[in-house]
Amino acid sequence: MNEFQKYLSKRVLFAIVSVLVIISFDFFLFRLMPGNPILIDYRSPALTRQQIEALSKQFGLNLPIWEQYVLFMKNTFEGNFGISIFYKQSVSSVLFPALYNSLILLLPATIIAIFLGIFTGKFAAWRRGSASDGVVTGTSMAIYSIPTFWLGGIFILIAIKTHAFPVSGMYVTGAVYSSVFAQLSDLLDHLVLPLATLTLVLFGQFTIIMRNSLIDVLQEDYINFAKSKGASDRYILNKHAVPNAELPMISIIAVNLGLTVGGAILTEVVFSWPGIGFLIYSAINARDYPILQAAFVIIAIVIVLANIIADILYSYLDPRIRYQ
Amino acid sequence: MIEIEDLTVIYRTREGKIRALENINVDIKSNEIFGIVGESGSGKTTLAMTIMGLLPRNGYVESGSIKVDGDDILKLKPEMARMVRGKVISLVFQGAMNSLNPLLKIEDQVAEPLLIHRSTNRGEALRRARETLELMGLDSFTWKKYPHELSGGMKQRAVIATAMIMKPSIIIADEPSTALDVITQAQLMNILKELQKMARITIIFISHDFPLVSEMADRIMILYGGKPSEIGSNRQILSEAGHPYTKGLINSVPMISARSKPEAIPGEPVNIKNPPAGCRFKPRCKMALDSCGSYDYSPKIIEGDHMIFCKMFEGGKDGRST
Repeated sequence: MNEFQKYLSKRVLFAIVSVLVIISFDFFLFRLMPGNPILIDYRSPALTRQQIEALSKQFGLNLPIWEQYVLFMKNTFEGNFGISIFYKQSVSSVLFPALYNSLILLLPATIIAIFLGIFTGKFAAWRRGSASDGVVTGTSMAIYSIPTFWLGGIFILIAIKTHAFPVSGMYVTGAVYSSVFAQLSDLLDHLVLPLATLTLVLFGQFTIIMRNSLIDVLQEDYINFAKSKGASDRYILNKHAVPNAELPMISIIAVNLGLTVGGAILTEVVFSWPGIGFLIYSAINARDYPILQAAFVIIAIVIVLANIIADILYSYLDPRIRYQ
Repeated sequence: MIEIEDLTVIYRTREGKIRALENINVDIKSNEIFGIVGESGSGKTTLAMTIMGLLPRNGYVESGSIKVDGDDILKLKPEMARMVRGKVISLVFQGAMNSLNPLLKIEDQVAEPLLIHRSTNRGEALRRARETLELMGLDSFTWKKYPHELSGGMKQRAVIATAMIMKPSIIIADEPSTALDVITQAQLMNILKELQKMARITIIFISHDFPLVSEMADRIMILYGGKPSEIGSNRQILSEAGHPYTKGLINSVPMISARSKPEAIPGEPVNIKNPPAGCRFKPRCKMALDSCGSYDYSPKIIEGDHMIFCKMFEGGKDGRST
């Protein structure tokens, strides 16, 4: 085993431990919420007391909480997330399509925001203190501080006035498509507004992070030393400053991925995008423990994975932390 | 070789303009080690940065000229100034520990000036980088290392190798030994001296460390509060010092052989944001006269190029520069 493999296996071991801890938190967190799914079932006049108790038994909700916990951990390890209390079907059959829908929205939004953010952040940092820096930084700060639902609301308002884009869902309800391309174009139409909302919110943040990180780097001695070698501004920016400024960006992006999912919840709810955020929102209303637990386990795994990837990238880009 | 005439450098700040350097008139000769001594705020780094054309954004040259072989480098267009940097004049930086980019290999950083000035291709540049590193006493195991894997002294040698690689005619060494232990510092000084003799380079050696400069330099300029106090040869400064500040510096050096204790110069360094009128050393000077408040920094010139900027010596042979 070489140094890198040692480093990697240690890192994966840590990741497994953190996922385990998160799964345990996950179980208790939702049971600390007031109310439970059975009480919600009591509202239904169609169910008798016996039926409700039978349901409760079926879902294991009559057991003592620690037994439920042991059962939950055992099932989670077997990859069995149980049955949704609200949808009355297996959690996986609800969760994975939603995860897929979320990725259609999240991946392009994050990637566009990162690239745009790096570009404008570079622009602003290089002209720091100038009027154009003021405009870029001010705008980014404003976009960053706008609540997602408000920005989404404004987009919906404009779209309804101008009939430009659909404002809700992923497809026209009940549509039958003549070809894959027709379906794709419908999807893209629906994607425009939520994508724009999410991209803008993330973009403001990434611009500010890149700008500040780059301004820190530009004050380093090695930047001045590169200038004393006769290097041009563009050369210094691209060869010395940006690679160093990107390092903190990588870890910040990985850590912020949790917030990205959070931001996606708001965007998805505002635009009724049938993704994992929207699912979490409705599952909380229904106290649908199995869905919530599974959704949070998935999100936790995604974030832990993203951090591992960030660490590997980091160790690849920064010789100072290689194989340690 | 380098003629600095009437140089005034100003920093714009929130509290107004700061005159960081004023009345600087000095000729630096070819192939000498010219030492510049001063405490923090004396303008020594500003002088280095002005010669390099690397003043911070808020700094500018208000008046004066810096002629290198007859051409005023302050008048060069940015693109031309860039061609001078690293090629004709290079810099060994204050805090050399941080002068190297942490993400690049040593040999790549040393080779960089060759590639920036398009002197040669990458292979040849690397070959010459290794050659120069070897000359500096850094053997092959360091070539592919990253800066964090080297000691402070090794890093400083790599920085000097970078400054040397274009065979410049002038090297400015600004506090090159800061943060190094005394032994490493002594080795480094020997390297600089040898290089200077071998490659016929003019070295401008800048430090707050008066004994160090007096060991290194052929001639010395003493700066105080952005203005000159005294300029002279090593011998003139050490044994024929005229300016009270120079004398204070000499007396503040601890000597093993001497029976007397070193004497500190009383008072605080000058506040450059709000300097006193006339002689800037006046508030700390034991011999200050009332008329020092109106001193205009016209030097007293003693035997050749020994210049003293002090009111007490005024009235003798007068002249702005030779």
